Amino acid sequence: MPYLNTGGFVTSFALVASAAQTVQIVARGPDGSERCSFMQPMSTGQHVAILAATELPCMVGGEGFLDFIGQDVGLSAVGFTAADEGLGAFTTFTPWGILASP
Amino acid sequence: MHRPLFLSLLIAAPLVMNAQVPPGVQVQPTANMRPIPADEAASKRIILPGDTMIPQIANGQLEGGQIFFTIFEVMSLVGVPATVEIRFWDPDGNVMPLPLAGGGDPVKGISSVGLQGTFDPRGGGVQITIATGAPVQIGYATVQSTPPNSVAVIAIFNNRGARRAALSGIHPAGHPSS
Repeated sequence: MPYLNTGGFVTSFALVASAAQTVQIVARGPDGSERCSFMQPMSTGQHVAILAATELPCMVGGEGFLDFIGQDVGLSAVGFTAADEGLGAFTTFTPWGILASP
Repeated sequence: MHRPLFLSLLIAAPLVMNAQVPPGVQVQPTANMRPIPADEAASKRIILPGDTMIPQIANGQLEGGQIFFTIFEVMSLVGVPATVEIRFWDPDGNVMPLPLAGGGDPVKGISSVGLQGTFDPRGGGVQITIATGAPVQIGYATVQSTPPNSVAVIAIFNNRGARRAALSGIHPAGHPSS
């Protein structure tokens, strides 16, 4: 998922876990290099909505993309990039979901 | 600096639901929201194969007066009657009742915990508008349909203060498959 935290834009995302797991979220720069990451424990059916830069300080003032690495037990997500009121822009990334292998 | 929109979505609200059924669309009154079987309840495995996920919904009023609400648009894609069930969940995976104006609309299958209805073949669909007025509520929604994958669903976030909206989900993009 691309992110943009410059020019008044801020990226956030929401996750829903189909089953308990720990999700690794990796922030990468425009060149694909890993900048920082964090682990998000999730219980079955749990939803979290996260302002990305609060958990991934390397994203402040930058741009790139995020990797979401689950544990093949089911995970759905949607991303948002919002601008300050003066700009009024709002972009939603296509939601996606992966259920566990049978 | 104003609070960015996403912050509102991370917090989210109260509501009112209104349904507008286009001409020719049949929404049958049914008992709302099937009970979760005991084995599912025990594990809280509430996301099932065939569900379409709306990973974020936000409804309510924030400090400062910003109001967010989510609109669901559901449309039948198949040539046979399609039943659809939308369920609202809180961040812990528990049922999240949303306060409705007038207590919902049982004729259209709409209650505080979601929608359960039947659409005519290739019916135009139904719109559920969850307005707000009270504290913010956030969570997510699951959509199940019979036959499987027989409906298209989008959810749209609206921010009345900023006059902007965002598309939040499109079937089958948010559809977990086994």
